[in-house]
Amino acid sequence: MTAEVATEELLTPEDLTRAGDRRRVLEARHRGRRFGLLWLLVGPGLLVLLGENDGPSMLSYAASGATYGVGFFLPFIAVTFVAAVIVQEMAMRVGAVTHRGYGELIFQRFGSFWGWLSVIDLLGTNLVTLITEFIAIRVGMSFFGIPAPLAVGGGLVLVAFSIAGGRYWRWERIALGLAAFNMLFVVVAIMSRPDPAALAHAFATWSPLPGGSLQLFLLILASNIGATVTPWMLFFQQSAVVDKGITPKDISQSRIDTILGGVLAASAGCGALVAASVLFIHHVDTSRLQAGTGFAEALQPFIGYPGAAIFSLGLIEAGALAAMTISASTAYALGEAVKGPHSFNRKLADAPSFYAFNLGAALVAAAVVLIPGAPLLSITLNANLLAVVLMPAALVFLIMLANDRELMGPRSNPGWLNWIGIAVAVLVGLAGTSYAVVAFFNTLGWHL
Amino acid sequence: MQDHQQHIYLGEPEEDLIESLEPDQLVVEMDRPVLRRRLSGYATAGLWVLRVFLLTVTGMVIYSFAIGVINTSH
Repeated sequence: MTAEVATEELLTPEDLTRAGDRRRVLEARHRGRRFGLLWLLVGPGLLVLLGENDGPSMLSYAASGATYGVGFFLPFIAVTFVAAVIVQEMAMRVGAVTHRGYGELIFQRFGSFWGWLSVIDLLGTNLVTLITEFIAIRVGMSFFGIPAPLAVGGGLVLVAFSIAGGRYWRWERIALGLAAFNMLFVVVAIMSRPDPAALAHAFATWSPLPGGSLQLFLLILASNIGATVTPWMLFFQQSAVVDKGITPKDISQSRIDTILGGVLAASAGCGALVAASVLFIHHVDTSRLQAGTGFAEALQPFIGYPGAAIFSLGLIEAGALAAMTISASTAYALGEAVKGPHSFNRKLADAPSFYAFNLGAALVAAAVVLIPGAPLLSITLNANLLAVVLMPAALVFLIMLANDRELMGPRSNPGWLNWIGIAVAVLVGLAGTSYAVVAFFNTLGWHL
Repeated sequence: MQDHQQHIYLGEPEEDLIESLEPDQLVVEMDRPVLRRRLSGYATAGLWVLRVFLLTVTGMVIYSFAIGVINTSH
C-alpha cells in the first residue's frame, strides 16, 4: 500500500527521512533479497535485548557465577531471556500495527492518569539504571587506569555523538556496532576454560541448587530477572519500531530481530556467569566485588591480564550501549507524554526537547556518578530490583494493548500468549516482592 | 506541547519518495490520537489494587536501600 495523500495534507522532513529508509526496504522485498531485507529491518530487537545486557545486568550474572558457580542460574538466565523475547515480541507487534509508542498508547487509550504513572515509573527506574551504566563505564575504564571524570565524560560524548545525526538509521547502526562487543563476555567465558560436562549438567538438571542466605539468593534471583525484563525495554522497542518505520508486513523479520537479540544476549549473559564461576571454584570472597575494585581484577589471577582486560572492555560496552538505549527510551517516553517531538528522524533544531531529554537524562546520571562518596555499590545492587518491582504494572498494560482488538485487529494476542504473558508478570512480581519483603524485615531486624 | 516543524508541500520532488510510507505512517496521521478506551469497573479496580501493591513494595525496596546507604556511610 502506498500513501494516497490529499493535496492539502502536510509532509514533514521526518516523513521524508523515514520514507527514504522504507524505500530501501520495499526494494529489497521486491527483489527477493531475504538477507538484505533482514539487514535493513533488524535493530530494535537486537538493541533492546543486548542493551539490557547492561552494567548491572552483567555484574548480576557475574555475581551469580561467582557466588553459586555453574548450576541453577545458568539455565535460569536462559529461561529469563525466553520470557524477555516473548514480552518484547508483543511490544514490537503493537508498535508495528499501531505506529505509536508504548507510552503514547497508554496516554491515549487509558488516559493521562495511567499514562503519567507509567512514565513516572519509567523515569525513576531509568535514572537509577542510567547511573549504574556510568558506574559500569567508570569501573571498566578504571581497570585501564583511566580517571573517573574522563571515563564518565567519554560516555556522555558517545551519547551526544550518537544522537547528533538527525536520523534514526544512523543512531541505530552506531548502537548496533557497539552492541557487537557484548559478545566479549563469550570470549572471556571461553578463556576461563569451563568444564563442558559441568555446563551440560547445569542445563540438564538446573543443579547444583543455590544454598546459603535466603536474602542473598532472592537478591541474585530478582537481579537476574531485572537484568532481562524491565520497563524501559517496552518503551524503547515499541517507540524504536515506530521510529524505524516498521509495518505489519515486517513483523516476521522483526520477530527474527527480537529472537536473535535474545539468543545473543543470553549467550553473553551466560558467558559472564561462566567466566566469573572460576571465582566460586577458587573460593574467592565476592561479597564486595561490585564496588570499585571490580570483577576484572578478581578474575585476573585465573584468566590472565588479557581475559580481565576483555571483561573490562565488555563492561564498558555494556554501560555505553545501555546509556544510549536507556536515555533514548527516556526521551521517547517524555516526548510522547508531553506530546512533543519523539523521533531520531528529526533534526536538533526541529526537536530540541527530544534531544534535551535524551542528553539531559545521561547528564544527570553521569553527574551522580561523579559525586564524591555517592553510594554507587548500593545503587548498582538496587537498580535491577526497582525495575523488577515496577515491571508487573508495565506488563499488564502491554498485555491489555496487545489484546485490544480495536487497535490490533487480527494481530492481537492469541490466548496462549496471554497466559504466558500473565505467568511472566506473576513470576516477576513474586520474585520482586519476595526480595523486597525479606530485605525489608531483615532491615527492621526481624530476620527471615 | 505540539511542535511546529518545517513542512514540505506536495508537488515537490520528494512526493514520489513519500509513497514508500503507508498512509498511517505519516507524521500527520501518527499525531492523531487513538480513541480513549472505556475500562470496566473491575479493570479499573484491578489496576488500582496493582498500583497500591507495587507502591507498597517499592516503598519497602527504597526503605531498605536508604537504611543500607546510611549504615554503610557510618
